[in-house]
Amino acid sequence: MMKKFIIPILTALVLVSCEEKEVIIPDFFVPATGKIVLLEDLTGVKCPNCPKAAYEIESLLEEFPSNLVAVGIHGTRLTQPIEGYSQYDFRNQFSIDLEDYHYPAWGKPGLLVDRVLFDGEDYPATPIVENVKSYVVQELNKEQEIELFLSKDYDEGSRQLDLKVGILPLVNLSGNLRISVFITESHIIDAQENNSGIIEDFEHNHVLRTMLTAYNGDPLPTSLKESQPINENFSYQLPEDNTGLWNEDNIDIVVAIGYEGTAGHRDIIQAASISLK
Amino acid sequence: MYSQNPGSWSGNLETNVNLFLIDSLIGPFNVPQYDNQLVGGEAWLNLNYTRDDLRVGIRFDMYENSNLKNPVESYSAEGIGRWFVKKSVGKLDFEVGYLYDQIGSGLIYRAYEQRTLFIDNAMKGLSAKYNISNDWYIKGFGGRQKNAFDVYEGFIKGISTERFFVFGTEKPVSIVPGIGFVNRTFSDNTMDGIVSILQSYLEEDRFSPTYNTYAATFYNTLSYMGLTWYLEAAIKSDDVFYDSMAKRKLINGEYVEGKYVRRSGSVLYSSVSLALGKLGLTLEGKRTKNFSFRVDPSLQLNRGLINYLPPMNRQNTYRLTSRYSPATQDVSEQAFQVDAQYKINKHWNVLVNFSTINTLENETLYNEIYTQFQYKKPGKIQVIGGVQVLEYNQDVYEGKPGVENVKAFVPFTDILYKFNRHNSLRMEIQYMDTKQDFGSWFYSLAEYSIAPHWQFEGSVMYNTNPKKELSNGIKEKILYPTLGVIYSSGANRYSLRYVKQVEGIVCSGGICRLEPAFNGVRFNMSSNF
Repeated sequence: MMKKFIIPILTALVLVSCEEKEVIIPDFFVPATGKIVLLEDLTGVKCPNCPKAAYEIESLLEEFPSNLVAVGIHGTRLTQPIEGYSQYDFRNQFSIDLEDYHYPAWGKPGLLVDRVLFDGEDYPATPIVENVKSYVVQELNKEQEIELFLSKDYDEGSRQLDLKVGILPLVNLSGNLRISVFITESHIIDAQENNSGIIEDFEHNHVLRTMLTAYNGDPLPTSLKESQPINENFSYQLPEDNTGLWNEDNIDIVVAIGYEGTAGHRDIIQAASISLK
Repeated sequence: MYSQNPGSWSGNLETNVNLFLIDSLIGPFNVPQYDNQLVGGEAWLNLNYTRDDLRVGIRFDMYENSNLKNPVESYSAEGIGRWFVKKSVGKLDFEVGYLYDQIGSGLIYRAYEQRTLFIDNAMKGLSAKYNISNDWYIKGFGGRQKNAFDVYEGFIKGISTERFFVFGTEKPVSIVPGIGFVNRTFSDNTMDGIVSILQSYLEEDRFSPTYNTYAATFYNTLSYMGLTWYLEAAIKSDDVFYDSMAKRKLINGEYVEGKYVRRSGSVLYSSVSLALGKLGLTLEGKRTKNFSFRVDPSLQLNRGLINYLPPMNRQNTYRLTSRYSPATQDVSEQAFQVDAQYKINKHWNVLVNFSTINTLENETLYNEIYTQFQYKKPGKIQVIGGVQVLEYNQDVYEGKPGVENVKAFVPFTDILYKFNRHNSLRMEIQYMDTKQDFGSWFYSLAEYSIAPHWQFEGSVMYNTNPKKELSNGIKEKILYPTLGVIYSSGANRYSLRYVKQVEGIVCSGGICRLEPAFNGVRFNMSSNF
């Protein structure tokens, strides 16, 4: 008896498997929020997969013009200038320290969205560029906890920058809070490896040039009260450079507030940026 | 009713302890075991009890500051890694717990453990097998896949049947056909993740996923005299997986490689073995298209694999001949392998193996010609020698885009000399000539055995023509030595080694991962009881 049923059972299972309602993908809307997300890109001029991340970042900045800021970190790995091609060396002690701070990671590119360790990821730096947009959206859907007000005074003659950061807590906050101030430079045309060789005129954007705080941020008060603002001031004189770098027209200041902790527990809760000029 | 049989206990213990010593040139750097933890390891204790038709087992797993899960991360956890209860009642065999099993060669389903790669795909669930007759069964199973000490959320279930037929008596022909069917259902969380990612894609790259994917396979083994022919064909319905080569459009008009896709897939695999007197011949072929089958498509590397695609290259064992070993590709691969062994006389035999692996688009992934001769004078000496020539697509296999294919020429020899019944010396000498990756290597090993207890070994691996910059930015010639002693007593085995090891691929059955350099001391202990 049993023998008669086996083939029909298997056939029936295969046939039953044919019909299922497909999941409809809802349209995408940028969440209405004042929250601004920090996107850090562990990159390097000798990293062939990194242009892919760079294109993705520019696309995301276009899509989230008011809610996303980016920093490109050229640390230790795959960052040596390309012999015979590179005009510049993007490495500096801050980028080296920051990259080490964010490691281990699966390699480059490594993209950190608010330094959060997302479900399914081994490290805060994801190598899967496709995941980044959904992580940005997840962060934007979180409650905004801080409003940042940036104002700057820049003297072109002396190249002196004075930055004021107003921090307005929207909720009570406590913990090992830190403020990080990054100086980035964009529109730098220089060599970059990709999968098919070397792009000699690649546009490097958001390159971390220096920081006005420690690489892992300067401490803030351990307790911030709702609606009680605090201010932080920073000064910096831009170096003179005759190689084409430190172009004041292409400099941005990026500020991020977050927690200090072990990897995966360093969430950034708000970021902001302002152009030097 | 219980019999007078008291039952029997069996088991084994395996322990690894690593002392990590950072090396200023080879690293690894920023790895917690080297930076501050210094000692880490793993242990597994299996305990099984069998009585009549009842079999139960439990396994204790322990990982402390272990680099096994992820070579650049520290992992600590301990607990019950596996338990199971298996019982036969009449024609019904059933099993609950963490189950290892496979259908056919594993093309649509294989739950197995491979400790060296931190693979433990056991299914936590129920399996029931009904033996219709002595040569025919039908089996069904269902559950969720193990994820270290947890389980993945996706639900897997399947059914299979296999029957043995024999025709003729004088020169019998036997066939063992089977069919299998597996269904995987995504969890809501997995689907939410997929939807979230697809929502971020532009319209032209989006698709509508489904929760369920179905895979079916048909297989058969035909045996006639010296001929054994295995054939398996598997198909899979539309499934969501990540295709690293697919192009995705960005909002700024740029295209980037890599996106999630939804496609159906197929695999065709066949193996023919012929025993023709002194000649043994094996031919294998496989064609794989879109057959990535995971519990959750966002899982990467060796995680969440539901199926197993057999490798199509020779599983080499010597240090340098196994240095570049290809991992099975699940999206696009076509491969052939021929293996011929000929026994010239009672002292000599020769072996030739050829394997070629390409993508379906004809991109070269791997080519290997392996030749080996063996001379054996029983009780006195054994000499093995040969040459391997290979081409290896490092870009695809190790995710190092833009690098040249590794082309290598590897002569090797292995000599075992027995001084007497207790004392023997084995020596290996290998050389890898290559202009790619790290450059050329020399390897030599000497192993002195004093049976039945002691074995002393020492080896050196030397980068004779370095092509890769070290952490100091210099292409430096580095010696990678290993020194070890092994003591065996009955079913117990202890080994202690100092190891300095270069970064490389570690594979087992076509499943591979990139291991960083290692420098330190390793202690292993194993015991069977």
